[in-house]
Amino acid sequence: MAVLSVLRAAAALVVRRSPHKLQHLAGNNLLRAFPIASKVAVRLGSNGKQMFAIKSSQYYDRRFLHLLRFYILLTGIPMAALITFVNIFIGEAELAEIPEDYVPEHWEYFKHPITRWISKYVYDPPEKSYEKMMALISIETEKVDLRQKHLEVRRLMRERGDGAWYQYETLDKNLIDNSQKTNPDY
Amino acid sequence: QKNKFYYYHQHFRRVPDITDCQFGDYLCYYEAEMQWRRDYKVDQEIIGILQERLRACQQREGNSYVQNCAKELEQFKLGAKGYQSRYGDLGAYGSARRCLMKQKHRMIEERVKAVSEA
Repeated sequence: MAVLSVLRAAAALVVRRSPHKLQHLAGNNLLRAFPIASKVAVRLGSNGKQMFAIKSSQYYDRRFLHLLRFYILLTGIPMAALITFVNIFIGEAELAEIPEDYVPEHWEYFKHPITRWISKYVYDPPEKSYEKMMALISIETEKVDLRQKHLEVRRLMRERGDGAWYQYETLDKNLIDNSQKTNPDY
Repeated sequence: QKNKFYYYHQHFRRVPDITDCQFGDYLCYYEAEMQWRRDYKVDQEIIGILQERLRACQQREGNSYVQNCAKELEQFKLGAKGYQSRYGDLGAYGSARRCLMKQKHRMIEERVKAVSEA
């Protein structure tokens, strides 16, 4: 502040010493309308007491906003430029009837060129995901069928006893000693 | 613009409905479900178009829209009533099966009402 006031005093002195030099320097026509510095009533308002305004620090807030703006615009500006150029120079597709004997590709059902590009190079065709889902469902259906059959087979084999399962090994009946059964217990 | 390119409306083949599927034929269920979802989307678009027409009509007519827009209003009311009775309160997890159950309940109520009126 002190430096500023010194500078200001020096500037005032220079202008006061050569009031008309400015006008001669810059050509008479342009600066004739400028008032002479020493004759104008200037109100600098420097008779108030100098105050130190106690505020909280704005360093962190300003830094945050600066960084936010920077990182958003880092990809925002190229994206905005790209989208503008695509909209202006490439333009959207036109609606047309499907020609005879022509099967359009899966990306030819979209209007905007960027959606078409994404559908062509990034996404799978919707037919593919449909078929994948159908394959999963068919596998699960087969599993359900087989499990049901398994349970039914178990039930029948146990009930009828003439199947391959539920066969248990027992002793040979020739090994049983029947001699004690010939005598009664009394 | 030098290179013109076109976009088309996709035509889907009609597959058997949920009511035409055998019990436990999950593949048939899936195809019917997908068809029902496509029809749901188409119906939503239809309702949107009716709304747009009504809105445009009201904007055009200004303060005399009550009597001049009667036709658009009738169309929209009809469409909205049908939409509400078919897809109305299915919720976010609406499916073809739930829609069928809703139709069943509707028919039961109609039958009960017809019996009670007769």
